[in-house]
Amino acid sequence: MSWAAHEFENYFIQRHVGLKASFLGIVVGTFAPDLFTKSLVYASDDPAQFHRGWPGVGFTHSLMFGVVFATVVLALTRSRPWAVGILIGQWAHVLTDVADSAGVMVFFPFSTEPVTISMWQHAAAEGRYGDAAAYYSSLGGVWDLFWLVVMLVFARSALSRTYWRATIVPADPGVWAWLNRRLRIPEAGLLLLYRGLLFYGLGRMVAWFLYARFEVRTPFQPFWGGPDYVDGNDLSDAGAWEVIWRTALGGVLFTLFLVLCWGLFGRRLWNRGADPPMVRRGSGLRSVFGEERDLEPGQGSA
Amino acid sequence: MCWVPSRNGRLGSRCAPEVAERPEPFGAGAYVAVFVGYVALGLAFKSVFLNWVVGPLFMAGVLVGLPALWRAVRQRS
Repeated sequence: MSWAAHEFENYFIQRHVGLKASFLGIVVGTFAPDLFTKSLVYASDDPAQFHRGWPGVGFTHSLMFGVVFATVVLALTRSRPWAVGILIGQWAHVLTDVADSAGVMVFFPFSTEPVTISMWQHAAAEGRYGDAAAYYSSLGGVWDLFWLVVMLVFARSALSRTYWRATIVPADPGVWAWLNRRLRIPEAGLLLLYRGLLFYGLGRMVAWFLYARFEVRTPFQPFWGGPDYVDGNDLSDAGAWEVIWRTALGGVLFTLFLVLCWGLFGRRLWNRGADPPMVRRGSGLRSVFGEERDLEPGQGSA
Repeated sequence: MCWVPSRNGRLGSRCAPEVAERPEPFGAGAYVAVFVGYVALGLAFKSVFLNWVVGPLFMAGVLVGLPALWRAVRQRS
């Protein structure tokens, strides 16, 4: 699994969706696949199978889980920014976790074939500390560094106070106002909470890297498929073409299922949902991505 | 709080000018100090600090929460 990359990618995503998604929704979506399962994974007899396979909790790392979660949130809260944020955040987590050797069942339940590029070993079998040491002894740590650089190069403006006031808060005014009024957190504190995810990602990245190098002294092996002191845990013995075929079929069925659900109840739920006053949504991809112009009060989208 | 919608149609701060032009509440030194402290505490007490709850809240807790708590304690005493 990715570690700090899941924190850094939130800001990159946020920079490209602007007002159209709640940052807090993106964070919840990014955390969702591991939120209720990670501690159970380390206690399991076969952590990789339990974490990413079926039977197991591998369905949390599927695109379908994100769709269901976002749909439930939209139905209950009618908040489009939250639903969009959760969907995008959860999908980003799923696609990022393709990089470890356990992979993810991207199109579960239409395909239970794990999709992986095996860039680094899934090392949950080593325990939590061993998992961290192995991750930061492999290309996993490089992956985190890559996302940190991507975020700093393409999305560092999303960290500014101006951006927070102009985009983050208007996209989710109710929650930020509640934090300010009910919990009495001043603006400076709210801004620190917003930046706190980056702080945490960077802090854990540095701390675990130092732990691996100087405390447990695991060999630093940033090559494809490493570290080699961790046993392999490929969840599937299928060949490459079989994986491609099953995954492609699963993708087609998943897409058809989404189209069907959109027609049956999705469009109605979406139209019943609401946006904050400052949000203007376009059609298609523009309903999710792209910065929007400021609006005069009252000029919301339908 | 600065989420009063702007009335001039321009993307930017929603605050009154005197609020919008306030400097950042904390300088780079504060961030660096808190970061170094977090890494050190994280290495010493991994399960306490290197998790999804304490980690993201640490910076706000130290820079805003602790001073507020200190002021509250001083006011009572």
